[in-house]
Amino acid sequence: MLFSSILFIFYFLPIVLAVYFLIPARFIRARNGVLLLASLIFYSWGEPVYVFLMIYSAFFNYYLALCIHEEKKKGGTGRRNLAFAVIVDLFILSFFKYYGFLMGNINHLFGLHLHYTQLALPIGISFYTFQAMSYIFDVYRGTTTVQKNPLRFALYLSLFPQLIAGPIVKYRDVAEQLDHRETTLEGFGYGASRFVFGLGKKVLLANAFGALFKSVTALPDSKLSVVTAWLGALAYTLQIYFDFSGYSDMAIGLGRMFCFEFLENFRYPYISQSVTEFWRRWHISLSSWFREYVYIPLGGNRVSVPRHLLNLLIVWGLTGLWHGASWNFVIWGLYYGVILILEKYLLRNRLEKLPAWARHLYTMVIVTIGWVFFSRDSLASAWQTIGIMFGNGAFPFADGTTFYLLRTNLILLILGIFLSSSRPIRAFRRRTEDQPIFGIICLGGILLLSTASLIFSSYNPFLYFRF
Amino acid sequence: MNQNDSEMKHPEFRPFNIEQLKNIPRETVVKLVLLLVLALFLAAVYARTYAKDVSLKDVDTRLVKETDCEKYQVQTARQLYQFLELNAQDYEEVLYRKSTETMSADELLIVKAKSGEDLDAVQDAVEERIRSQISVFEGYGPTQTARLKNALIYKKGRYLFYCVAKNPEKYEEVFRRAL
Repeated sequence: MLFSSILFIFYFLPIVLAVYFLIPARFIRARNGVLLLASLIFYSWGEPVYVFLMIYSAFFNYYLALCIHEEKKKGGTGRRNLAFAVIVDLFILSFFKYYGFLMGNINHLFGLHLHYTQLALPIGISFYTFQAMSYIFDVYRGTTTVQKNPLRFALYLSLFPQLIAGPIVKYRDVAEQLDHRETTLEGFGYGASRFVFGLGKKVLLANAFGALFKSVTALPDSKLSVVTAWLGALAYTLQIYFDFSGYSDMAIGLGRMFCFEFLENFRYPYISQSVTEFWRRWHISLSSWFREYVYIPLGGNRVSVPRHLLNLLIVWGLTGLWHGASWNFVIWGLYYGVILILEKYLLRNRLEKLPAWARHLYTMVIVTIGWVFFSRDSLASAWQTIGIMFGNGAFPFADGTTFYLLRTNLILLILGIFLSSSRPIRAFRRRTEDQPIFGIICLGGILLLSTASLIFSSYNPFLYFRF
Repeated sequence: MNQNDSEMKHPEFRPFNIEQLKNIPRETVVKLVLLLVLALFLAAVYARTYAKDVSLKDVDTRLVKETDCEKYQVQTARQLYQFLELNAQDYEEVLYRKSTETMSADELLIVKAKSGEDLDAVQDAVEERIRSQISVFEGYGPTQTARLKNALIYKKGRYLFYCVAKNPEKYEEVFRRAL
């Protein structure tokens, strides 16, 4: 089920909210039961078979965490149980996500024609597997207490607001909230407004940029130009931001409506003045997961320079691979690994001397090029697009199609660039503090426009559902 | 012959004692059961999704040979986009046949996607097509409306089969056998 669907907004969510709030706050177990049941229904709506896999993963990790805890209580290290849990978790993820990629590469490398069936990826598997692994690591390291109630752990893993596309919530960040949550009208109001903002980002902006991107990619080579290629890349840059940050807003908002507080996943990444800063602002929950459970255990930056470079490349290669079973994602990850190394060891002082606008431009060019790898089906297609963007080949600088696309989308592009900065939301908050009615009108308008758009549009899933 | 005789004749032979099972730690048993359940589930999912790698040209040949589907005309990529808003180049192969009669809703579509995940968008387009066709025929074409309401959609592996016809099952049967 999609957050941005009539079924979810006008049927599923109101029913779940009504049942949830009909139960008095002191009966937290009953409220948790409602949320768990709703989460299972939400997931099984599109994945009637794979809901079993999620239940399995919840029970498996719950049980293995108990084993680690018991072993440590008896004086052991818990290492064997930790290894067993991580191997099984990664095996499940790999079986669905990387099996086809592996077989394709074996066939390509050895000139074989082994037939294989590419399995459909269970939605959200990358997110909930990483959540489960963070819990296992934390129990092993003793940074969180073990959860003795399997249903409560299942609720943590399957909680529908963040189940499908994050943020990747660490168990220790919500452990207390599973037992005790404070219900406030302010919290509910904040959650509802955040949800509406996220809905607007997805339905009104991301889908519009998606349509522009699609119209550029559908152009035959004869109608491509340097500026058109940049226009397509810019459209995707804005689409993926509004799509994914819109989903995160909806997830955080829904969490607040049910009295959960999730950490922020985006902090206006497109205002960054270096790529290092960009990665502190983009998909924060994934970056912090890799930093905490891969980068730091590898030694982080407290090692020799060559080892540090290797650590960075491992982490960024894995970050790329997490996004998808394709060389495009691996190259995309390594591309960032190399740029972050360059920024850390070579460019930092030089960048600091540049004016703010130049640093911002540099960051956005790097990020926009990076999204080309992300948006294309194959590496060949990505290289070709990048080639066109830099004038490689007999492509004109601009042509009639470029001017048509610019003329018909200029306002949208200006609006997108403006809304991806922090200024509009700050201005909105200031204005609504003085005039609450202004906020209600704005949110009502966004909800109305989004609903109208949903009624007339076709299936439009979030980009991050693929991961 | 008692147990001691057996051990004396075959010193390497130790008769299985059910009591030994009780010495296996409960934790190990639970882990083994968990692994077994996982293996069974993954095998079932794989078997359910498994489909032979068959060219749609071969499927079409079989359909033509074994059914009367030749009465439906093969449609072009442009017509596929016109009627279902699907871009043929987004998929590995597409077979789209449609009745030439204006008053008929009969059509047959088979899509072989590049990945199983791409089929969600195809299914959505097909469901939209059915809805739109029902709104066209409802009111003056009860037979066609009934056929549309009984349309068959079947997914396996990277393939999606969709058919509106008097007996869509006969086409589906050939398709299933081809996989």
